Amino acid sequence: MNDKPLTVQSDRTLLLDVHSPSADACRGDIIAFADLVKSPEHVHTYRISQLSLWNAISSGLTPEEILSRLEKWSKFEIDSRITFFIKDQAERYGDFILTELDEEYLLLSVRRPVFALQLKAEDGLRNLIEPESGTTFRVKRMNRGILKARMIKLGFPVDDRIPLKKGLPLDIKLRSTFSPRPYQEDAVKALVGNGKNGSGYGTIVLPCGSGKTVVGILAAAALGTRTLILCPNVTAVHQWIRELLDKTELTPDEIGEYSGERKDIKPVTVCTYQIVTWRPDTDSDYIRFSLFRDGGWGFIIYDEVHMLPAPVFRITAELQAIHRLGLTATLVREDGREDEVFSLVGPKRYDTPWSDLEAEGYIATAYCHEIRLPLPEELEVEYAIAKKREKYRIAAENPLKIEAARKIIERHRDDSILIIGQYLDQLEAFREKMGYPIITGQTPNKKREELYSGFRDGSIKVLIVSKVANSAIDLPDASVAIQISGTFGSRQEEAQRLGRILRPKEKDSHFYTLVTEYTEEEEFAQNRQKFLSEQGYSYTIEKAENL
Amino acid sequence: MRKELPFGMERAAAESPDDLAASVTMEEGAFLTSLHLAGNMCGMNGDMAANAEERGLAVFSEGKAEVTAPGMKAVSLFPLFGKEAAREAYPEAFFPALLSLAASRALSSDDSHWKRVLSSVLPYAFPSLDASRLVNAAMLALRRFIELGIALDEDVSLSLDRDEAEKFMLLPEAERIALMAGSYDTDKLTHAVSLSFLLSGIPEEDLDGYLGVIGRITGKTPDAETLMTLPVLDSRDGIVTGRKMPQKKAGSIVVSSDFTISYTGWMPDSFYLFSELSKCDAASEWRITKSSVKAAFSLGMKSEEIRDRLQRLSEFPLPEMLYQRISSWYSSFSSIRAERALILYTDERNGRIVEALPTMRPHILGKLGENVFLMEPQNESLWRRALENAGFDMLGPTEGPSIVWHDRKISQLPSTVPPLPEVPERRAVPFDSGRRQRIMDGAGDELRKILTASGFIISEDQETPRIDTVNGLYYQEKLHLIHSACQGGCKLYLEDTDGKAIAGKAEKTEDSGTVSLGGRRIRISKVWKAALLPAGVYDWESEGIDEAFR
Repeated sequence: MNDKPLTVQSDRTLLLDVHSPSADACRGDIIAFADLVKSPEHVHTYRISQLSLWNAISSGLTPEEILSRLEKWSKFEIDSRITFFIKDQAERYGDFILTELDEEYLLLSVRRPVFALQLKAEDGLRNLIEPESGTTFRVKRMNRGILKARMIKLGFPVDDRIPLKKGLPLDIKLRSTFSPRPYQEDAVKALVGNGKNGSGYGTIVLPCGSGKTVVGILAAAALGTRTLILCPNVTAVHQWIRELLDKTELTPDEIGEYSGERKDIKPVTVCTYQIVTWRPDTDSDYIRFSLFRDGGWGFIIYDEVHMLPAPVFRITAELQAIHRLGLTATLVREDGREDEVFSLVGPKRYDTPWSDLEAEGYIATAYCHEIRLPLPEELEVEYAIAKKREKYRIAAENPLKIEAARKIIERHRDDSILIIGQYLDQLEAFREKMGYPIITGQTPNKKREELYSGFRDGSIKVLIVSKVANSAIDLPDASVAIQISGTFGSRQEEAQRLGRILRPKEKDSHFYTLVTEYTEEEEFAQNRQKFLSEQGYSYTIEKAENL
Repeated sequence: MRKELPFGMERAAAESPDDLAASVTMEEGAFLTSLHLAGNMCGMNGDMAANAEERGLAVFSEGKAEVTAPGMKAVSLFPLFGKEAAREAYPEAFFPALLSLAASRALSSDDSHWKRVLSSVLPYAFPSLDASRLVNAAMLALRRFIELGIALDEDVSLSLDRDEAEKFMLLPEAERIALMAGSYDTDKLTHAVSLSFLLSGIPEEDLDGYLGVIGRITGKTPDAETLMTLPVLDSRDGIVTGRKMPQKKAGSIVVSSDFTISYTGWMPDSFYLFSELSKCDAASEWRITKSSVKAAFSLGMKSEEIRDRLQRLSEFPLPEMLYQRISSWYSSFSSIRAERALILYTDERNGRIVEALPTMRPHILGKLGENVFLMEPQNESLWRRALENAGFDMLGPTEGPSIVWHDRKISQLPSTVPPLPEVPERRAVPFDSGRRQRIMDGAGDELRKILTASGFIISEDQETPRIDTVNGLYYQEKLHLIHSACQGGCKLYLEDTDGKAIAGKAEKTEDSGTVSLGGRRIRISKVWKAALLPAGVYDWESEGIDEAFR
C-alpha cells in the first residue's frame, strides 16, 4: 500500500512523492482534474478545485473515473468528503446550460426552478440575465464570458454548449526542419482536446525559455485559422514574427505587425496590449477593440497572460466564441486576478514542473546565488530612520553592489551577462561606473534592437537592462543574470528574470541576486524566491566579500 | 492490582467481528467488562449478574466475581467497539501547533484575544475538523498549558517552557488528552479517555450513559463536552463517532527548499519549537519562517541545533540554503538583545545605529559600556517598536524575570527577606595552593574566584555553588539587600558593570548612597550585582578595584 505515490488530503490537495517509480504515471492521471500548486524537489502538491473539476468533467471525464484514479494511486483510503465533493460538483455540472437562442441572445437553462430563484437573487447576475420562463433566461451574447465567470465564482458552473467559431481558415504549415518537443505537443493536445465543447481554450503554463512561442505556433497550426497574437511589448512582437517565419511556411505578407510603429492587419497579426488598449482620453471608448471583432479571427493568443491589462479582460469576456490560448511561465498575479484569467481566457490546461524540463535538458540548469553585502556605514542611520518603502530603496540601491557585480563579471568573464535592475538612477550609476551599454523603457526601438543584436552576436558581453527585460526579450546567449534590484517581493518578476537565462545552452546558467544584509531587502528577497523555491530551485547564500 | 482489558477491541473486531457482534448485547458487554475490572459485584445489577451466570459468562462466589472464558469475549466487545471505517484520524499536530503558537508569542496573556488569533490560524491548518470546535479545544488546551506550567504567562504574551513542553510531548496521546480534562489523576483519566475515543456509532443521547459505564470501569467519568471539544469524539447526525488516535509511530521527514517539513504519521521530533504548522491532514506540513526560528532562538535553540534535528530525520540532504538562511537569522538575532526590560546589548554595528537613532534617544537613560544601553523600562513597548521600525525585527524577548509595573515604580519586591546563600559552610582542607591558583586562573568570573580562594571550590569540575544575585537595576531590591547585610553584619558580594568585584563584611556609612566593605567605600548606584555570601568567604577585591564603583 505504501508504495503508492499519492497522499489525498481532505482539503482536496494531493501530495505526489516524486521519488516513487510510479510518480510519472500518477501525474499523467491526475493533471486532468487537479492543478499543480507547487513542485519543490521531493513532494509536488496538486489541488482539486471546483474549476479544475468542472473543466475535467466538461472535457468528458466522469466522477467515477476521477475517483478510480485517486483510489488507484492513493496511499490511504480516500476521505469521504473528497468522494462527496467530486460527486456533488459533478452533479452540479449540467444544472446550468448555455445554448444558442438568436442573433443577439443566448439561452441559459437551469435544471430546476429553485436554481432560477437562486440566480435571480444574486445581485451580480441580475443585470446579465433576463427571465424567459420559469427555468430559462436570455443572456446577451456580449455578456457570455462575464456571466460564466461570475457564476463560477458563485459556485454555479455553466455548461457552455455553444461551439466555438471556426474563424476564417488559414493553412499554417510547419517547416519540415523543425520538430517540436514532446511536452510542446502534449500542451497543444491538452488545449485543442477533442474539438468538442469544453475544449479549444485555456492557459498553458511553461517555464521561461522552454518555447512557449512554439506552443502558440503549434496550436495555431492545429486550428488552421486566422490568428491574433497579443504581446506585452514591441520586442516581443518582433520575436513572435521572427519565430513564425522561422518555424512555419507563412510568408512575411501573411504576418502583420500592429504596433506603435506599424498598423498592418494580416491573417496572422501580432500586436501589443498597449496598442489595442489605447484611447484618446480616459472617457473615450477603446477604439482599437474593433481589431478583435473585425479580423475574422478564429484564434487569439495572449502571450504573458499574467500581464493581461484590465481592459483586455473586458474585451476577452466578449470573445468567448473564439479559440483562446493564454501563455505564461508564472500565473502569479500580485493583484490576485489569476481566477479571472482562468475563467475568461480559459482554465489551466497544461503545467509542468520546471525541474522536469531541466532534468531532460529542455531548459538550462540554473544555479541561483544570493549575494549578501553590508550597508555602507554612512547609510546605516539614514536607513534606520527611513520609512518602510524608502528603506527598501536605500537597501536596493546600495552602492557597494557595483563592486560586487564587478567581481561576478570577473568570475564569468567568458559569459554573456545581463545586469537587471529596477531603479533608473541605479542603472545609470552602473553604466557610468562600469561603462556597459544600457537598455531602459526610454531606449528607442532601433537602438534597442541594435544592442540586442550586439549581445546576440557576442560583440557586447554585458548589458544593463531595466525592467523592460522582465519578459519576452529574445536573448539566446545570456547565461548569467545579476539582479541588482527589483519590484519589492514580486515572485513573478524573479521567475521572469531567471527565465532570461533558461534557454538551453552548452554551459550552466547562473542567477545572482544582490541583497543588502540585515535590511528589508533580505525579506523581500526571500518572498521573491518563493515561487522558484516551490519549483525546486535552491539559492546559495554567499557573502560579497568572499566573491 | 489494577485490571486491564484483556485484549484490544480493535484486535477482537478484526478477528471475528460478526460472531462477536452477535454474541452479546451492548448492555451485557458493559456489565461483564465492569465485572471483570472490578472483580466483585459491588453496585452492579443483580438481574444482569444472574443472567450472566446462567449463560456461563461469569461465576460468583463469596462476594467475588469472575468472568469466564466465553464471557471474556464479551468484555472485549463492550460497548466501545466501533466501526473502523467510521473513525477519522486524530489530528496529531494539534498539541504541537498550540505549543508552536505559544512559543511564537503570538498569543497575548489576555485570553480574550485568543479566539481571534486561533480562528485565523487553526481552521486552515486542520481543514478536516470543525472550526468552532477546534478553536474551543485550543482555548481549553492553552488554559491547561498555563495551569500545567507548559505555557508561561509573561504579562504581555504567552511563551513556552521548552522543557515542560518536550516532557508533555513525550506522553502518550491519551494521557495528554487526560491532562487537558483538568485533573492530575491522569492514571484513571487516561484509561477513561483511551476507552471513550473508541465509542463509535452510538446515538448521541446515549453518550452520557456510556461514559457513566466507562466511569465505573475506570474510576473516572470523562466529561462529554471536553471529549467533544478536543475532539476525541465527534457527532454527526446524532450519531457519535470516535476519532482514532494514531499509534505513536514516527518516520522520516522531507525538508524542501521552500522551507517546508512534511511527514505522514506522528511528528518525529519537536519541530513545533522552530516551525509553524501549515496543515495537518493525511500528511502534515510545517513551515520554517523567520518568526518561527526567532521563537526557537528565544527558547535558547541555536541554528546548529535546528539543523541537526532536521538532518537527523530528513530522508534527503537538507537544502543548502536552509541552514544558511537560519544561520543568518541567528546572527541577526544574536546581534541585539534586551535584558530585564532595561538593558540593551548590541554588537558594534547595531550599537552605532541605536545610539544615532532619534527615535531611540528619548528612551536611552545611559550607556553602561560599549554597546550596552540602559533603557527606560516603562516605555519598553515604545522603544521596541522604534527598534522594529528601524529594522531590528529579530530582537528577542526581554530576558530575565519580568518586573511588576502596575504602580509605575518598583515598589513590590519579590521577597522581603533576602535569599540566603545556598553554599554550605564547610570547605575542604588542606588545599594545595598551586592547584587553587589553577582553578582561579580558569574561573570565568569573580564570584568563582572568590569561592575558590575561600576553599568552597576545590576542583575544576566542581560547579560554582548557586548564589542568588540581585540585578543592580532593581534599585529598591538592591538597597534592601545591602541594608539587610549591614544590619545583620553579613558578608556581601558587589560587582560593577565591568565585572570588578569586592567581597567583605558590610557596614553602614553616614552617606546613605554608599556602603563600606572591608573599609572601602562603595557607591551603591554603581553596583551592578549584589549578593549575600556565607560568613566563611574571605574578603576579596578584584584587581583595579580602585577604579571601580566610582
